[in-house]
Amino acid sequence: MNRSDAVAIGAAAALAVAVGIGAGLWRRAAPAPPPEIGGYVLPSPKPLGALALVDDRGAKIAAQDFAGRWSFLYFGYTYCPDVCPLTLVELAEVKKKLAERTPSAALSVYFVSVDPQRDSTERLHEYVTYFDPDFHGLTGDIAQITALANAVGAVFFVPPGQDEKTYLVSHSSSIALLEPSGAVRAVFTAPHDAEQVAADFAKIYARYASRP
Amino acid sequence: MIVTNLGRPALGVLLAGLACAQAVGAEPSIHIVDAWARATPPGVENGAVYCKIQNHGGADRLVGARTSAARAVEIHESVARNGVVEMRLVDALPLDTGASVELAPGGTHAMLVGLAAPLVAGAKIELTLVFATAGVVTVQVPVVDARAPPPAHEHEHRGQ
Repeated sequence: MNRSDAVAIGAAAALAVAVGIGAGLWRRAAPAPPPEIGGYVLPSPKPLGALALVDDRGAKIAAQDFAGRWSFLYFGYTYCPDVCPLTLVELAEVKKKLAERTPSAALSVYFVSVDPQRDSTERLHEYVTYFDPDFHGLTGDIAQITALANAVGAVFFVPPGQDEKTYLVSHSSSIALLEPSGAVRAVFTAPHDAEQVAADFAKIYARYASRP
Repeated sequence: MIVTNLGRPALGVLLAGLACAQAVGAEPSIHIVDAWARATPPGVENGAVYCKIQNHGGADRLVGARTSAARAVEIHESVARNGVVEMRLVDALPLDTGASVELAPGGTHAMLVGLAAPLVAGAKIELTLVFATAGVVTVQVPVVDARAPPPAHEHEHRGQ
């Protein structure tokens, strides 16, 4: 071995040690892989922050009212004739499947109105309970609905240039999942299939139910 | 694309002409199959109709629709982009020669704007589709409770 060989081997060894240490540190710093779902699981639950909403029965809903149960949140509006009913039908299926698959998990499903101007609590009540008698509607001031949307990473807006009575609203297609602490745990991305969402929830429940 | 029930006189004449043109023709070039309307929750203003449009003739376009069950019918497309879903008005739905176009949940649909009454499962509504070349095609559309399995299995109501 000549001198330059020795230097090369030494450098390679030093590099290997550095890479090894780096990988070790990285492994310690990065979170463990989350359950693989049709969407994403947050590395740690994200609290909602203060909220003042109204449900479809006229009851005031604050952030702490989501505590104690797993909550599925979908944003939509009753004027939406296609995607919103489609998603609520899937969520009703999810609820039925989970009653068998994770019977110990207390669940609530919320349809959050992105159109509080037209969706009265009465209209929301008729609408959500058509899909499942236990479903909840949520509405309130646009600022409060926006705060909830922000907290779960959802968006909604009225595209410009529409009639003020028959306007359509664009909205996120995802479903947010709150854990029983009331914090955001996961987001299911569209397209939604009841079997997939139920299977994904079962994975999340198995992983996180016992350590809030 | 919006055709109100009141219609404009000129359009009414045009439609009448097209209807005659179709009546004297032989086999209609447009077939509408598997049409169904989503039953609506109480109090809801809008509905949706889905179907397959089979074009056995030359290139054509769906340019309008109307029904007595609603104030207007608009062809809409639900478009998901960057995780946001929006409905876009479709002015004219192109139908290539020999093409079959599906209006299906979560995609293109005929939106019934301003329902006269809720759409109740088991009822039928009449929907008239207006094509640029083939003229008008009227179909009887059964109202289906979409909480049950897809319309092909509409007898297996699961009862929510």
